[in-house]
Amino acid sequence: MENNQELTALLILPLLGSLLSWFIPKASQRLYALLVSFLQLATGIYIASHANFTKGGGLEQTLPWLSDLGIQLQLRLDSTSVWFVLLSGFVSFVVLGLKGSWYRKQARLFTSLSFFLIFAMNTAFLSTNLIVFYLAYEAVFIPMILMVGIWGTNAKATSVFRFFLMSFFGSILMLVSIFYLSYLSFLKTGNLSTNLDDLMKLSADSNISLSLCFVGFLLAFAIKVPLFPFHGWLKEVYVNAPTPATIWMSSLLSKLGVFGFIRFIGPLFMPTFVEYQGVLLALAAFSVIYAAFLAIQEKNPKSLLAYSSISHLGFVMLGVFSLSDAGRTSAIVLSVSHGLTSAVLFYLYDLIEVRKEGISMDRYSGMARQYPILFVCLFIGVLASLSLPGTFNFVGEFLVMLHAYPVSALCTILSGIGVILGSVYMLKFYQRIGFGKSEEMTSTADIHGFDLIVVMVILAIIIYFGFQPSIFLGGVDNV
Amino acid sequence: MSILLIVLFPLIGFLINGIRYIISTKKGTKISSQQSGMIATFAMVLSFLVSVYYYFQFNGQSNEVKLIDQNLFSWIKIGAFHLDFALRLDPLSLLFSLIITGVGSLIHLYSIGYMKEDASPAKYFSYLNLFCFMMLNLVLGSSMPHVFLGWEGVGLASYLLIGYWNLDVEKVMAGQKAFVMNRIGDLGFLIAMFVAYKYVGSLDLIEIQKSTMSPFVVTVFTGLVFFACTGKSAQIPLFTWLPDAMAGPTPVSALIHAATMVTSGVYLLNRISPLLIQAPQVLSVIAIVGVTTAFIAAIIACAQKDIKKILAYSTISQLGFMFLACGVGAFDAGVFHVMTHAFFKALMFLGAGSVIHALHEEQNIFKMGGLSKKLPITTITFVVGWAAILGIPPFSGFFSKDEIIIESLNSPYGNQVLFAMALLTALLTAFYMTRLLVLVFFSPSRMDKDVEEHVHESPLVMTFPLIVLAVLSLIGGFWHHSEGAHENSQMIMITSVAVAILSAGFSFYRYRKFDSEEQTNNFIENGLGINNFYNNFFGKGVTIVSKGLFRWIEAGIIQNGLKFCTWAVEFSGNVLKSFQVGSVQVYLMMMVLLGLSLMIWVLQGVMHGVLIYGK
Repeated sequence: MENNQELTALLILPLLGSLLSWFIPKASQRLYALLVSFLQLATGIYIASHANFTKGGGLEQTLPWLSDLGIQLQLRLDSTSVWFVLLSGFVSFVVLGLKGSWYRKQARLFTSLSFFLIFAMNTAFLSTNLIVFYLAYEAVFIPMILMVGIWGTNAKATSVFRFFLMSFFGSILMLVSIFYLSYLSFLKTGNLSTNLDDLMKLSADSNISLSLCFVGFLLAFAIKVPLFPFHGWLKEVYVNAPTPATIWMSSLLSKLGVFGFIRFIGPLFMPTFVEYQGVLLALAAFSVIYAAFLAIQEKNPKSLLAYSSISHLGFVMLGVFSLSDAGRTSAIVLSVSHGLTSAVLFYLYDLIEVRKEGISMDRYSGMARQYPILFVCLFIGVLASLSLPGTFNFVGEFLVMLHAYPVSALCTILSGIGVILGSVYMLKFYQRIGFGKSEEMTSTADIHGFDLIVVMVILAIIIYFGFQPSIFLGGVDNV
Repeated sequence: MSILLIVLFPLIGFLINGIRYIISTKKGTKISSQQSGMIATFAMVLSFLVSVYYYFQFNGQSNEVKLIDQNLFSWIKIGAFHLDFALRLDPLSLLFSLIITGVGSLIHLYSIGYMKEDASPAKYFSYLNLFCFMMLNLVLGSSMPHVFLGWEGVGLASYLLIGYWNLDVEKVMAGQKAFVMNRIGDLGFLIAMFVAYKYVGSLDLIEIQKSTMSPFVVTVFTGLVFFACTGKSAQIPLFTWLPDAMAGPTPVSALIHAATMVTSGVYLLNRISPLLIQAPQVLSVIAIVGVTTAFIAAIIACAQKDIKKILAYSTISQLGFMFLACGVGAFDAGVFHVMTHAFFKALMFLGAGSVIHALHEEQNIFKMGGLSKKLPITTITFVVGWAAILGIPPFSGFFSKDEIIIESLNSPYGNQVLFAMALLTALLTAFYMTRLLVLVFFSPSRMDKDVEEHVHESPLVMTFPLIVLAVLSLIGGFWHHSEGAHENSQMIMITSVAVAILSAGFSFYRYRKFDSEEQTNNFIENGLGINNFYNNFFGKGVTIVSKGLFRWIEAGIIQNGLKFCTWAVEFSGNVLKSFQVGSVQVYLMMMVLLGLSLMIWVLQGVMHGVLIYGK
């Protein structure tokens, strides 16, 4: 692990961006947001490219903060967190380029909240101190809830409250567990510490109280991912949130849960984790099928995409729960590919919604004729979502299943049914919007300009990494 | 020269036409079918020439030399798992490449004429090239994931081309049906890969072939691969998508749903043939499924009225023959039949296309008749195809079909039942093909007057491929030297030819003067109710399950549970407020915490219970 003083840049930049946005004229908010997020992405790539992540290597930085209480701002960029940080930078850049009501109504607030969100997210991804992680994990909610509240649609109040309640439920348990772990560590070593590396030493002696803490963490992250049966909050929030918030949630917030499993639950509670592996694998497989079935009967395209997201995250969790290095790396690959795919799908759907109101899965809207390029892009996105070979998603899903199969053949085969069901609802999604005879013709132009470039870049990345994914797979030492 | 070129040319063609299509939509210009068709055809011809080059390279070489590996790049490498993106050419994949690029070139050429009036020919030809690219990857891929890339890719191209006229919702649904049914089979392929990796440690096809797995694992692996093949090659139980796939343009039916894609199951079974020999149970299942499919499809074909549907069921039936061949261990015979079938079935599909084209999209054979005078080239070439599928010597089908029938009895895996079923299928085949031929070309005309006036022979760009395919259907049988020198083989040969001729004679006699529509049995015409059964059982089943899950679990338990929690929190907040004691938030927090600890405690108990029960 190399010491590096640049890691804070990944936190300071968005924080500054959040503050400075108040001094930028409203009309140039979008440009400003794009600029800062691009800078942020470039910084991330620059720092990552100078680190060596093989064999558990990476970058580390420690800043003293409340050291007396055993809390320090410890940042770590390793082969796990680097992909999430880069994904967050990239997706944020994409999201902030999307035009919409958020740049018309209270634009300054939107930009400011966005960068605060990125700041909190990056802190959560980088911090190895559990208290700092917890604070960041909670802080993510504030901009999220405000965004749904201010720029969201109709039934937002209830959905926000449920979202808050469930997440609060999970994270408060995690907080209790963190305190308890730190207390255990105090009993053992005489030091009050909330640092991951110190607490990891506890996992050796498995006892009942440790497995209680395990459940606390598990619930917090399972709600965030979400894993069945903790997904109840998701659909309403996704549907009512403004598109940027939806993309952030599906591409990044869900990954915060995945990341939590990999970063904290694995190292802290391995013996308990192994004990519960069977149940968890079954839950993951069931999530895949359950959400796929729900997607099939869904009438609202955005809800359909929301359920499809749960289904794919079930695959990610299958990889995490196979509890091997290769399985974990595969899960990260699938997380990144899912993050890109769901970003592009929600992005495109927003463009579609702008062009035609009241799209429903009940009837054919016949829009493909009118907007051929938009629908070519959407189709490639759908194929990626179907994990067709040649896309990045295939690499992830294939590797996840390949490594889950020796652990549990049954769960792998069951989740494989999700692959079939996936083709049912994703094709339905595409066909109902695109095909059939169109009712009325509006004069809005086909996808163009910034939108087209961004979408094409994401799709190109998805296809490129479908054939050259090796950069992501270095986390496992080659035997 | 490099084998990469074989797959590269169609890819380039796909990209050129695809980009041209996108640019044309942006500018609003129209692209001519000739231009895009020439680009696509040229790409296929080049690819064909490269394949021919390798044919001569291999010619006369010993078997060890007939293997070229070309590693393109490292694809997936994680831990101990290493996968190269590599092409491999051996006699089997070379033969398939020749068929795909050769027959493919002719069908591309034919399409120039057929799709002349189409609004977006660049899109059509780019899809066609994409299909060939994927199909070539399927046969040239050296590892299972690479084959899977092609396997899913041809499914994708097939989906796009079946639903090519996407204003028509029914055609779109036919495409989706094909895609989803193929995906059911693909799950078998995926799991087969996981099994292979677990027990062999590699996904390279040669290493899997050479591996020594336990008999049980071999059975599971080959069984899964066979299941995947039933999807792609339209065998029982996954065959009902193929008749619907006729919604696509007719050249597509000829290329994808007759000559190439649907034979990829036969290709795959040949690839793993060393393992199949070790799994006799799977072999016998393949033989039974093959011959049953052949027989049932032939029965259904007898009651069809749509010219393309007849050919579709005929294709399913012939694919059944190929599977029968594989199932009795006569893998070479199966591949041989793939080749001859590619010639004569593509020929007949294109002939049917020529008829449909001339009759302005009429597909009902009872509204045709007497076309032999107006469409002479189509008629003559179609007769050649008819003779080939009937197995009349010396047409190509005679050699391949009879080899299969002989092997179904003489092979160590064969038996009398398989033989009898095969012979019966041959009889039915002769019946329905003659029915088609007579009703379309020779019986009195039953066409509408205004349609009849405009009937004309297709242009040279369409008849030329017909002529070439007719020649191939005539001489294609001589490319294979079978050494079936059994005593009874001559007897069997004579019997099967006699059966075919008698049945054809009966059919000819019955339909030669038909001047009205035949009353066919509805049950048979609708595919023996199998399609309806699937729709009712699986189609509706999925809907019922998804609606049920939504209603009972999602809305019933999860959403209501959440509602209850929200309500409980609000309620307790109100109660606390009414007591006016201290800070509401603090109490609220404590309530929540208390409730949660309780829940965790319960959950912990439940999970422990599950664990203990599980052990």
